[in-house]
Amino acid sequence: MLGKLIKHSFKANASAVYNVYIAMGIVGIVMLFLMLIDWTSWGDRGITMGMVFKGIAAFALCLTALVGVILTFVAVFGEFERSMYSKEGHLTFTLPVKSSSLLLAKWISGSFWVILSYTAFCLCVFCSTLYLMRQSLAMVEENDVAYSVYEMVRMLIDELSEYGGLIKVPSMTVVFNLVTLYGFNGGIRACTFVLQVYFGITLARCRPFHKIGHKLGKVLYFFGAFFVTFTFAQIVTKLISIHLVISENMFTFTISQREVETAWSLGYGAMGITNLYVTAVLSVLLFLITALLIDRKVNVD
Amino acid sequence: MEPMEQMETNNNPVMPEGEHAQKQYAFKVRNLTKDYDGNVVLNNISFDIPAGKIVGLLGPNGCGKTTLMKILAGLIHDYTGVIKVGGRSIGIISKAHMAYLPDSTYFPERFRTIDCINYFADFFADFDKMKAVQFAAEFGLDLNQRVKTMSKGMQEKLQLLVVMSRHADIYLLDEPLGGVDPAARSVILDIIMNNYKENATVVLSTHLVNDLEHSFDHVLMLGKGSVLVNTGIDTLRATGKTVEEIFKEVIGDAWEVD
Repeated sequence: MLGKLIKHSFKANASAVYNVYIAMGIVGIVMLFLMLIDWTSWGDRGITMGMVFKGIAAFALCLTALVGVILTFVAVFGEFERSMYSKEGHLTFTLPVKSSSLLLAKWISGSFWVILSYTAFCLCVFCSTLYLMRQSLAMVEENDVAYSVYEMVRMLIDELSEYGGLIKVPSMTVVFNLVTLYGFNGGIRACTFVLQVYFGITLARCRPFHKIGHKLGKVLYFFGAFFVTFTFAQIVTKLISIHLVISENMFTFTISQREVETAWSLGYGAMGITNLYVTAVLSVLLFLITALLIDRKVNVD
Repeated sequence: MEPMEQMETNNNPVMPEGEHAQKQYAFKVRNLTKDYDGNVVLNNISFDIPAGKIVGLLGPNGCGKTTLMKILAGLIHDYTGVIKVGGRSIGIISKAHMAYLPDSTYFPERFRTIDCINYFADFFADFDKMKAVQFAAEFGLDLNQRVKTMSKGMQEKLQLLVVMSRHADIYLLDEPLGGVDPAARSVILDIIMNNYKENATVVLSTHLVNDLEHSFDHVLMLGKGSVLVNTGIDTLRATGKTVEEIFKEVIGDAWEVD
């Protein structure tokens, strides 16, 4: 049943946001098209025009991605509220499934779309930046985007190192591991964010918390959940700060700040994991509380 | 007027959980109380609904019929009291065996007729998809038409067809004739009466007593937050009055909710 719930929830969200991804694809194609045009054949004026059009296209791509993030939020959270607590709730709550399965399906589907919108936004900003930089940086090599970006970042870090001397440029493998881990970190936080909103919406429907009204209630209770999660994670991180040191082929845990600094200076990477771990645990707790509220306290109007 | 005696109500708060009891009663409700911010809608009511009967849930507007239906369907959770459906608490199993038709339309606007049918087919093992498609054709519903382009009447037909395409043990139908013109009432009533599973319990809430009284086997009347009548139709008819006459007598001073 969980699979079917996820399928229907996924389709409900997709029907609201697919237009944005089509728009992103179209803008991307326009950008490629503008890149293929030989603007120099129109002389200096053509080169200037080409720069302007490319700038507009890059800006449009970033803007479309930003709209995509906002629309995804509206679609995911709107769909949750509509399907659970409006007239559609009469259908949802009479399905022979557990409340926790309902919530889990919404959570998985909602998190997927939110993470996808974040990823699309980051990729669009990244591609737009690279697209514009290609025009001005001769060092960027054709057909090797990853290498090109790496070279650019390395150049930037080399510049910074001349002043601070604290960071050595990590190898591509370490950079890849770091990006993967930081991506995972971002994913967990996106999932937590989605659940915090679901919790806020749900609590605003429960007695006696509904008395301040659904609209105000869901905002207040979301910020309450966000504040509690954030503060608790920060406090625990202050007390026990554990880092994961990432080298070329090894991951090691450390609680020493000096070891973290040494890792960066040796060309390795490091990521604090206490905060992430506490946030993940609190997410599970928030999920259980929300499922319990749905099971015991929520009424469908 | 004093409320009519609840002739078939078992007042023993201890509920038998045996198989015999499960077969005998579709619902056993004990000490059920529900209020909305202090306004008591159902006030400590207890009753049984026998299995395999067509039950009329009658009462004036605001007497708690829809609230009771929602509680039985598992849509309202913050009540006090004990409810057993076929001997079990309300949950996944009771929902799997219960077909609920609310008094409002509930399908997402983006759904087409076929999506609604597929949705029910996905979640309810007792759903007869072929029957639903056949119903849709009889009702003149295009399988590819979206809910948002349907009139309210068409949406109600769509809901009725998917609900009545289930082979459920219990049908909870909340005001299925509400807002329907008199010509369509007999059609809808025919669909309900000709398509529920044999030996299933059908609970029909309505205030259109006259249209439905010949269909009932059992009557449950609510008013002033209490059960006013809970008895078989034969017992009522033995009084020499129609259900509508009894309804008017009993409900007479029970329009207001405490």
